[in-house]
Amino acid sequence: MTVVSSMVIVSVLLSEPSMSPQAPAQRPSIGSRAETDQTVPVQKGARVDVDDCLGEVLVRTWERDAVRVRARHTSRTRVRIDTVGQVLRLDTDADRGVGVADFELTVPPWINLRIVGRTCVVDVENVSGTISAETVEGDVTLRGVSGTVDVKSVEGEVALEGGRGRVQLSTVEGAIRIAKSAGEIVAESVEGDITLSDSQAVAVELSTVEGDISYTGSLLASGRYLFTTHEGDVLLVIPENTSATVGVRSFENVRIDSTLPFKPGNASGRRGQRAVYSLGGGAAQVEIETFEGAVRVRRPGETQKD
Amino acid sequence: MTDKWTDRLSEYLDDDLVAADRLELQEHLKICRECRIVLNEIGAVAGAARSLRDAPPSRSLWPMVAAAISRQSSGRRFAFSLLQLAAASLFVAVVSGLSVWVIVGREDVRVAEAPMMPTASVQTVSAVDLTYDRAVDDLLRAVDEGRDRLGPRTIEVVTRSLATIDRAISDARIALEQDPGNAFLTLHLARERQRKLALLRQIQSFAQAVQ
Repeated sequence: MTVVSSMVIVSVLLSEPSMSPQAPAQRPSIGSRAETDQTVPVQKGARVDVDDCLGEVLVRTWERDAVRVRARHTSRTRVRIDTVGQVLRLDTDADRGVGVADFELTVPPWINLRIVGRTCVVDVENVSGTISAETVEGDVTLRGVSGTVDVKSVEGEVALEGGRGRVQLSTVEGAIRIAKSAGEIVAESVEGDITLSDSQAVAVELSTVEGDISYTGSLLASGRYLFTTHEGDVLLVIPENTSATVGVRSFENVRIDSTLPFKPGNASGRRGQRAVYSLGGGAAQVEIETFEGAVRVRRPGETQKD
Repeated sequence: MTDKWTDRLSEYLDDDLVAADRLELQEHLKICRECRIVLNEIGAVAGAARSLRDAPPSRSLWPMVAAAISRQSSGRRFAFSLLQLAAASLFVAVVSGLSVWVIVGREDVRVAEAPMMPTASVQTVSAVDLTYDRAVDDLLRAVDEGRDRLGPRTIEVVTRSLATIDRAISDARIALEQDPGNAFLTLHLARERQRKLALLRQIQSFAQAVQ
């Protein structure tokens, strides 16, 4: 790894003049807002790191192999843009207190992203590279991403729309909402609900302690689906012509409350044993494990509760 | 769940299997979810054990040891099924060094434990629980040290969520007391315990990463 200071020089040399420049050295008066705008060329395989983010990170794509960094911040906040090897590192500091900035990044679609922050709202669209985001309080929203995704949040909500890669999402308190996504999805929350709608995913693992799980969409014939909760309920809304084998394990009750014509398999009724039900040809493999939650299966459009 | 590979998972983790057995077990793991879960739990315990500092036990260890012994002597520990004992016996290889260090490292512990350990099996489970508790305790301490960086609201959320997980663990334990042979409950308990460790690691990581 190249020494940071030397790569800062490289970064400066490679940087283009800002499109609406405001020299960082020109410190605006107290209380005023400042803007940093810099474009840095990047090569395939590069990654953008946003460290210790306090504010918002908005990521959009363009067709250039370069990253444009626009940051709006207070006059007392300094934005640092360093290049270390293949990593373009962005962070902030301030004379007193912490640096707060809203970043708007324009990146090539293949870029890899790593964003870490305490109170950090993340919004990413149409990136196909690897995305890693960790926030304590901020919400994370991803749309049209197709690479490997790993998102962790404590209090924030996580939303994914149109994902197509391998996705891992986790929250402690916040809800997880996934829509129109394919590929492989793993989502976990302690207290938040997990909702997966219009799913075309081929492999799904959803797990909560207290939150409810809701899955709406197709169960692909080659698909594998695992839903686990402690207290939460599990709701599946699937087409009538679904072909699936559903295994249910529960401490309280292995019965499925279904309006679809499931055929009971080896359901013995003994607590802790796996009861098996089938629908159609039994192609998709579904496992549901809940300590004391209810399991409901409904057709699209039916009232979900009863 | 107690198939022929169950008691060889520890050897697998320790890389003690011959190549042929290792390959066969790897194939088995692809189709046996229960073995994967047990393997993950052993790995988690081993990881936690590795993360512990190689230092003399602090004075604060004794209350935990005493509490563990007290739980045994008061009969509050649930009876273990063969399944659980098999799983627990696997852990001992991983954590034996640590448990010996904990138990032998203090004379007063050795004196106190003598009449309380009637069977090797009970001692094994006790050591595993103790190791798990220590890992949780260490992580809680690390999170506590970073609480200023997380903020009161986050600490409140984490505290509440840990309580939620603890309730799930407690529910599973109590249910397992009533139904010791219940495979689902064994897996459920393991999963919730893993979840607690994972949450604490995540919060510790956050605390280190943010300002």
